Amino acid sequence: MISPEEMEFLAEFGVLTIIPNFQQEQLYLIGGDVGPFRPALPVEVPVWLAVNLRQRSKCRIVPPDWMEVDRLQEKKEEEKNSAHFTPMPCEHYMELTQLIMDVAAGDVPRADQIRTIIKDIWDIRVAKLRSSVDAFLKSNSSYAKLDHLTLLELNTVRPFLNHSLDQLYRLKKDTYRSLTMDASRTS
Amino acid sequence: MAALDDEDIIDGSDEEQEDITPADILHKLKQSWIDETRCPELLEYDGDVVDCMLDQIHQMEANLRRVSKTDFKISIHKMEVDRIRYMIASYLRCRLQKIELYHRYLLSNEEQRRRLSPAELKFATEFQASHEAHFREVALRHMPSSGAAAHSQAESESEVPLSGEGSRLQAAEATVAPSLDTHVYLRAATDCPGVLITDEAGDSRTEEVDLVSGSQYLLRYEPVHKLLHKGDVHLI
Repeated sequence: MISPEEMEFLAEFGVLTIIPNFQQEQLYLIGGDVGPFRPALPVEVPVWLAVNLRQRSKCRIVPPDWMEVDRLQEKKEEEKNSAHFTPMPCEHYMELTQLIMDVAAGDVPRADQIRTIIKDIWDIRVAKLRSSVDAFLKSNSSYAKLDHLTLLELNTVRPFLNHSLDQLYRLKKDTYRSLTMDASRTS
Repeated sequence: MAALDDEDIIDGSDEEQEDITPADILHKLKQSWIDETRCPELLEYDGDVVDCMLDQIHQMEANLRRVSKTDFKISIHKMEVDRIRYMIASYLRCRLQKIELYHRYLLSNEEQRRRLSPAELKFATEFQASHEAHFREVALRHMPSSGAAAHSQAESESEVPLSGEGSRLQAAEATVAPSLDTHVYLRAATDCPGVLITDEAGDSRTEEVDLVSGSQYLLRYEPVHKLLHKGDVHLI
């Protein structure tokens, strides 16, 4: 139902800093003003604009603060040691990494290492998600709290989990209903 | 020299409050779009937001046509317009799909009817009429009327559309209503203490949950649908 492209679309509403190599006065976009653009001076723009400008070689992308080997390494350790999900530096960390690496891998120092660490963090979190889904289903509770889970991770289990929970609920409801009907008939 | 002077665009949008910017409205549109796509039932039509954004788009496109082909700015504005247009189209498309699926249910209920925009209401009534005409023409009129007569004795009220002698579509059976028992993921925008989740299955326990602002939850849609209508929670 929710495709990865749609996730990327939502991630593109975020903000990135770029360093343009052109001159342009302020642009009044519907979503907010951007600019003015001066060569070699950093400016904040929406992600979709940053990606597009980079594709046309009109700027350089400044990787966000969190996209840095040591900080990511720390995050990964934190994630490994915690039983719950830790807050991620960015709601769309996976999509942003993908987008930036696609168009601007050269702008990011130690890009390969970053890619590996992010992939590791992703794997740890998805594995945690899978085991907690298992626990949730076994515990038979009616709701679950999923703090700090990002959208893309959620979408790996969404189709299966939603459908199964709905079916389980229907089965339970109908079983209960037929049991009570039997009870009232026999009594 | 840029003919794209957009001061008039920026404050063309607000009605009552001066400090609502187009950016806020865009954010509202995004939220409505996400809520509508994730929700099993049809939500209230966010007409103001959609109309406002369409206005903005039209104005922007008019400006773009006026200005000379200074390649650069045009492509950026055009990209943004495309993005907004995609959101609006997806929002309306999602609603239309739900209308097509649940048309009988939506039209039968006054409260549900209010959620449709005037154009959607027109679409729904015409869709229902063609739907039934189609069934009648293709299948129902060939069916023996004796079966239908037995049915019509069981059902007393004639809320059913009369579609000729051989056929009566039983209203209750033919109505497809959205299932409010679907599970959804939501994020609480404000603290919502005391949400009652009645578990109709098994031992019929009633759990009371406090939704903390900013947290995400997975639960059945039915206990929270009123909160969604009020705007206290949002689907993700």
